[in-house]
Amino acid sequence: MVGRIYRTIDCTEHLESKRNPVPAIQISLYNIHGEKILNNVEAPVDAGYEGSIMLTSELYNNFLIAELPRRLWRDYRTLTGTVTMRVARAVVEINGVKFNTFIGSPLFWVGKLLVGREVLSKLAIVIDCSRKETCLVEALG
Amino acid sequence: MTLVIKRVDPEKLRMFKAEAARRGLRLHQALEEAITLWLKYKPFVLETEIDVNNRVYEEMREELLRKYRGKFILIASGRLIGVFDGLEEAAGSLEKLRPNIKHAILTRIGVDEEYHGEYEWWGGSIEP
Repeated sequence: MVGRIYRTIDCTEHLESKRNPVPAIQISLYNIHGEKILNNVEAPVDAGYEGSIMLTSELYNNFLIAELPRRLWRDYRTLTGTVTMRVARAVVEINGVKFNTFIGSPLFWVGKLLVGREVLSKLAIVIDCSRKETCLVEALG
Repeated sequence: MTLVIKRVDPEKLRMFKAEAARRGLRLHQALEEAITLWLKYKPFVLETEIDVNNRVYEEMREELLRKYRGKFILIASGRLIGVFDGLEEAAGSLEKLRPNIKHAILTRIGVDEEYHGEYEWWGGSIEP
Protein backbone atom coordinates (compact mmCIF):
# COMPACT_ATOMS: atom_id res chain seq x y z
CA MET A 1 0.00 0.00 0.00
CA VAL A 2 1.31 3.42 -0.94
CA GLY A 3 0.91 6.29 1.51
CA ARG A 4 1.14 9.85 0.29
CA ILE A 5 0.41 13.14 1.99
CA TYR A 6 -1.08 16.10 0.21
CA ARG A 7 -1.60 19.67 1.33
CA THR A 8 -4.75 21.36 0.10
CA ILE A 9 -4.24 24.68 -1.66
CA ASP A 10 -7.79 25.66 -2.46
CA CYS A 11 -11.14 23.90 -2.33
CA THR A 12 -14.38 24.42 -4.22
CA GLU A 13 -17.72 23.15 -3.03
CA HIS A 14 -19.49 20.72 -5.29
CA LEU A 15 -22.33 22.15 -7.33
CA GLU A 16 -25.93 21.34 -6.54
CA SER A 17 -27.50 18.70 -8.72
CA LYS A 18 -30.80 16.81 -8.78
CA ARG A 19 -29.23 13.73 -7.19
CA ASN A 20 -25.44 13.75 -6.83
CA PRO A 21 -23.47 16.98 -6.39
CA VAL A 22 -21.08 17.88 -9.24
CA PRO A 23 -17.31 18.29 -8.61
CA ALA A 24 -16.10 21.72 -9.71
CA ILE A 25 -13.01 23.92 -9.72
CA GLN A 26 -12.72 27.69 -9.96
CA ILE A 27 -11.40 29.07 -13.21
CA SER A 28 -10.98 32.41 -14.91
CA LEU A 29 -10.79 32.58 -18.66
CA TYR A 30 -9.23 35.24 -20.88
CA ASN A 31 -9.39 35.68 -24.62
CA ILE A 32 -6.25 36.34 -26.63
CA HIS A 33 -6.68 40.11 -26.12
CA GLY A 34 -6.37 39.53 -22.38
CA GLU A 35 -10.02 40.34 -21.70
CA LYS A 36 -11.38 38.42 -18.75
CA ILE A 37 -14.43 36.57 -20.04
CA LEU A 38 -15.02 34.36 -17.00
CA ASN A 39 -14.07 35.57 -13.56
CA ASN A 40 -13.58 32.90 -10.88
CA VAL A 41 -16.40 30.74 -12.10
CA GLU A 42 -17.09 27.31 -10.61
CA ALA A 43 -16.70 25.02 -13.59
CA PRO A 44 -17.86 21.39 -13.43
CA VAL A 45 -15.08 18.80 -13.65
CA ASP A 46 -15.70 16.13 -16.28
CA ALA A 47 -12.98 13.47 -16.35
CA GLY A 48 -14.84 11.78 -19.20
CA TYR A 49 -14.26 14.76 -21.47
CA GLU A 50 -10.91 14.41 -23.20
CA GLY A 51 -10.79 18.02 -24.34
CA SER A 52 -9.77 21.08 -22.36
CA ILE A 53 -12.65 23.46 -21.62
CA MET A 54 -16.09 23.41 -23.15
CA LEU A 55 -18.13 26.60 -23.30
CA THR A 56 -21.61 27.59 -24.30
CA SER A 57 -21.78 28.99 -27.81
CA GLU A 58 -22.63 32.41 -26.37
CA LEU A 59 -19.42 32.50 -24.31
CA TYR A 60 -17.41 30.98 -27.15
CA ASN A 61 -18.25 34.01 -29.33
CA ASN A 62 -15.78 36.01 -27.21
CA PHE A 63 -12.96 33.80 -28.49
CA LEU A 64 -13.66 33.93 -32.24
CA ILE A 65 -10.70 36.26 -32.71
CA ALA A 66 -8.29 33.35 -32.24
CA GLU A 67 -10.07 30.39 -33.73
CA LEU A 68 -8.41 27.38 -35.30
CA PRO A 69 -9.14 26.61 -38.96
CA ARG A 70 -12.22 24.48 -39.59
CA ARG A 71 -10.16 21.47 -40.56
CA LEU A 72 -8.65 21.45 -37.04
CA TRP A 73 -11.95 21.44 -35.20
CA ARG A 74 -12.42 18.31 -33.15
CA ASP A 75 -14.84 15.38 -33.25
CA TYR A 76 -15.84 13.86 -29.92
CA ARG A 77 -17.23 10.35 -29.72
CA THR A 78 -20.14 10.16 -27.29
CA LEU A 79 -22.68 7.47 -26.41
CA THR A 80 -25.17 9.16 -28.71
CA GLY A 81 -22.92 9.81 -31.68
CA THR A 82 -20.21 12.22 -32.73
CA VAL A 83 -20.24 15.85 -31.65
CA THR A 84 -18.14 18.33 -33.64
CA MET A 85 -16.59 21.14 -31.62
CA ARG A 86 -15.23 24.44 -32.84
CA VAL A 87 -11.83 25.17 -31.27
CA ALA A 88 -10.14 28.44 -30.32
CA ARG A 89 -7.20 29.65 -28.25
CA ALA A 90 -7.63 31.05 -24.75
CA VAL A 91 -5.78 31.57 -21.49
CA VAL A 92 -7.08 29.87 -18.37
CA GLU A 93 -6.22 30.91 -14.83
CA ILE A 94 -6.49 28.42 -12.00
CA ASN A 95 -5.42 29.36 -8.50
CA GLY A 96 -3.42 32.33 -9.78
CA VAL A 97 -1.55 30.35 -12.44
CA LYS A 98 -2.23 31.21 -16.07
CA PHE A 99 -1.58 28.93 -19.02
CA ASN A 100 -2.54 28.76 -22.68
CA THR A 101 -5.25 26.32 -23.59
CA PHE A 102 -7.79 25.43 -26.22
CA ILE A 103 -11.49 25.90 -25.68
CA GLY A 104 -14.31 24.32 -27.60
CA SER A 105 -18.01 24.65 -28.22
CA PRO A 106 -20.33 22.36 -30.17
CA LEU A 107 -20.95 23.35 -33.76
CA PHE A 108 -24.65 22.44 -33.64
CA TRP A 109 -25.68 22.83 -30.04
CA VAL A 110 -25.68 25.42 -27.31
CA GLY A 111 -22.98 23.64 -25.26
CA LYS A 112 -22.18 23.79 -21.56
CA LEU A 113 -19.35 24.82 -19.28
CA LEU A 114 -17.02 22.06 -18.14
CA VAL A 115 -13.36 21.33 -17.57
CA GLY A 116 -11.93 18.23 -19.23
CA ARG A 117 -8.84 16.08 -19.01
CA GLU A 118 -6.63 18.28 -21.20
CA VAL A 119 -6.69 20.86 -18.37
CA LEU A 120 -7.06 18.41 -15.48
CA SER A 121 -3.88 16.64 -16.57
CA LYS A 122 -1.95 19.79 -15.61
CA LEU A 123 -3.35 19.81 -12.07
CA ALA A 124 -3.28 17.74 -8.89
CA ILE A 125 -6.80 17.57 -7.52
CA VAL A 126 -8.67 15.57 -4.92
CA ILE A 127 -12.37 15.00 -5.42
CA ASP A 128 -13.64 14.54 -1.88
CA CYS A 129 -17.23 13.42 -2.28
CA SER A 130 -17.81 12.90 1.44
CA ARG A 131 -17.00 16.59 2.09
CA LYS A 132 -18.62 17.60 -1.19
CA GLU A 133 -15.62 19.59 -2.30
CA THR A 134 -12.85 19.38 -4.90
CA CYS A 135 -9.43 20.60 -3.83
CA LEU A 136 -6.29 21.64 -5.64
CA VAL A 137 -3.48 19.92 -3.78
CA GLU A 138 0.29 19.53 -3.72
CA ALA A 139 2.14 16.42 -2.63
CA LEU A 140 4.36 16.79 0.44
CA GLY A 141 7.73 15.13 0.53
CA MET B 1 -32.08 8.87 -59.38
CA THR B 2 -28.76 7.72 -57.92
CA LEU B 3 -25.87 10.16 -57.89
CA VAL B 4 -22.20 9.32 -57.31
CA ILE B 5 -19.89 12.26 -56.70
CA LYS B 6 -16.10 12.01 -56.49
CA ARG B 7 -13.58 14.37 -54.87
CA VAL B 8 -15.99 15.89 -52.37
CA ASP B 9 -14.20 17.61 -49.48
CA PRO B 10 -14.69 15.10 -46.63
CA GLU B 11 -14.76 17.88 -44.03
CA LYS B 12 -17.55 19.74 -45.81
CA LEU B 13 -19.47 16.52 -46.36
CA ARG B 14 -19.20 15.66 -42.67
CA MET B 15 -20.55 19.08 -41.69
CA PHE B 16 -23.31 18.80 -44.29
CA LYS B 17 -24.37 15.41 -42.90
CA ALA B 18 -24.33 16.74 -39.35
CA GLU B 19 -26.50 19.72 -40.31
CA ALA B 20 -28.92 17.44 -42.19
CA ALA B 21 -29.19 15.19 -39.14
CA ARG B 22 -29.73 18.18 -36.88
CA ARG B 23 -32.62 19.33 -39.08
CA GLY B 24 -34.08 15.81 -39.23
CA LEU B 25 -33.53 15.51 -42.99
CA ARG B 26 -32.30 12.56 -44.99
CA LEU B 27 -29.16 13.25 -46.99
CA HIS B 28 -30.94 13.42 -50.36
CA GLN B 29 -33.53 15.83 -48.93
CA ALA B 30 -30.81 18.12 -47.57
CA LEU B 31 -28.93 18.01 -50.88
CA GLU B 32 -32.05 18.89 -52.86
CA GLU B 33 -32.74 21.78 -50.50
CA ALA B 34 -29.16 23.03 -50.85
CA ILE B 35 -29.32 22.82 -54.65
CA THR B 36 -32.63 24.69 -54.72
CA LEU B 37 -31.29 27.45 -52.47
CA TRP B 38 -28.07 27.76 -54.42
CA LEU B 39 -29.91 28.09 -57.73
CA LYS B 40 -32.51 30.47 -56.34
CA TYR B 41 -30.27 32.78 -54.33
CA LYS B 42 -27.01 32.52 -56.25
CA PRO B 43 -26.62 36.28 -56.77
CA PHE B 44 -27.18 36.96 -53.07
CA VAL B 45 -25.03 34.34 -51.41
CA LEU B 46 -22.37 36.03 -49.32
CA GLU B 47 -19.45 34.50 -47.52
CA THR B 48 -19.24 35.16 -43.82
CA GLU B 49 -16.04 36.46 -42.23
CA ILE B 50 -15.44 32.92 -40.95
CA ASP B 51 -15.92 31.44 -44.44
CA VAL B 52 -13.54 33.93 -46.03
CA ASN B 53 -10.78 33.39 -43.47
CA ASN B 54 -11.07 29.63 -43.77
CA ARG B 55 -11.04 29.80 -47.55
CA VAL B 56 -7.83 31.85 -47.46
CA TYR B 57 -6.29 29.38 -45.00
CA GLU B 58 -7.17 26.44 -47.24
CA GLU B 59 -5.76 28.18 -50.30
CA MET B 60 -2.48 28.93 -48.50
CA ARG B 61 -2.22 25.82 -46.34
CA GLU B 62 0.30 23.87 -48.41
CA GLU B 63 2.56 26.88 -48.73
CA LEU B 64 2.28 27.73 -45.04
CA LEU B 65 3.17 24.16 -44.06
CA ARG B 66 6.14 24.23 -46.37
CA LYS B 67 7.53 27.60 -45.26
CA TYR B 68 6.40 28.29 -41.72
CA ARG B 69 6.16 25.03 -39.79
CA GLY B 70 6.21 25.79 -36.05
CA LYS B 71 5.29 29.47 -36.50
CA PHE B 72 2.02 31.18 -35.62
CA ILE B 73 0.04 32.56 -38.53
CA LEU B 74 -2.76 35.09 -38.32
CA ILE B 75 -5.47 35.35 -40.96
CA ALA B 76 -8.12 38.07 -40.70
CA SER B 77 -10.24 40.12 -43.09
CA GLY B 78 -9.57 37.53 -45.77
CA ARG B 79 -5.78 37.88 -45.83
CA LEU B 80 -2.64 36.65 -44.15
CA ILE B 81 -1.86 39.34 -41.58
CA GLY B 82 1.47 37.93 -40.51
CA VAL B 83 3.73 35.09 -39.44
CA PHE B 84 5.00 35.16 -35.85
CA ASP B 85 7.48 33.30 -33.68
CA GLY B 86 5.34 33.54 -30.55
CA LEU B 87 1.73 33.76 -29.48
CA GLU B 88 2.19 37.12 -27.70
CA GLU B 89 3.57 38.68 -30.86
CA ALA B 90 0.58 37.40 -32.86
CA ALA B 91 -1.83 38.65 -30.18
CA GLY B 92 -0.18 42.09 -30.37
CA SER B 93 -0.74 42.24 -34.10
CA LEU B 94 -4.34 41.13 -33.60
CA GLU B 95 -4.85 43.93 -31.09
CA LYS B 96 -4.04 46.50 -33.78
CA LEU B 97 -6.91 45.21 -35.94
CA ARG B 98 -9.54 45.86 -33.29
CA PRO B 99 -12.43 46.61 -33.35
CA ASN B 100 -12.82 45.99 -37.07
CA ILE B 101 -12.74 42.21 -37.00
CA LYS B 102 -14.97 39.69 -35.31
CA HIS B 103 -13.14 36.58 -36.45
CA ALA B 104 -9.56 35.57 -37.04
CA ILE B 105 -7.65 32.35 -37.55
CA LEU B 106 -4.68 32.00 -35.25
CA THR B 107 -2.91 28.70 -35.58
CA ARG B 108 0.53 27.26 -35.08
CA ILE B 109 1.41 25.71 -38.38
CA GLY B 110 2.15 21.99 -38.26
CA VAL B 111 1.81 21.93 -34.47
CA ASP B 112 -1.91 22.46 -33.88
CA GLU B 113 -2.48 19.61 -36.33
CA GLU B 114 -1.10 17.26 -33.66
CA TYR B 115 -4.08 18.09 -31.44
CA HIS B 116 -6.55 17.40 -34.23
CA GLY B 117 -8.40 14.13 -34.50
CA GLU B 118 -11.07 12.12 -32.78
CA TYR B 119 -11.49 12.64 -29.06
CA GLU B 120 -13.77 10.95 -26.56
CA TRP B 121 -16.43 12.25 -24.26
CA TRP B 122 -17.62 9.37 -22.14
CA GLY B 123 -21.19 9.76 -21.12
CA GLY B 124 -21.39 13.06 -22.94
CA SER B 125 -24.49 13.88 -24.83
CA ILE B 126 -25.96 16.77 -26.70
CA GLU B 127 -28.70 17.02 -24.09
CA PRO B 128 -28.26 20.16 -21.97
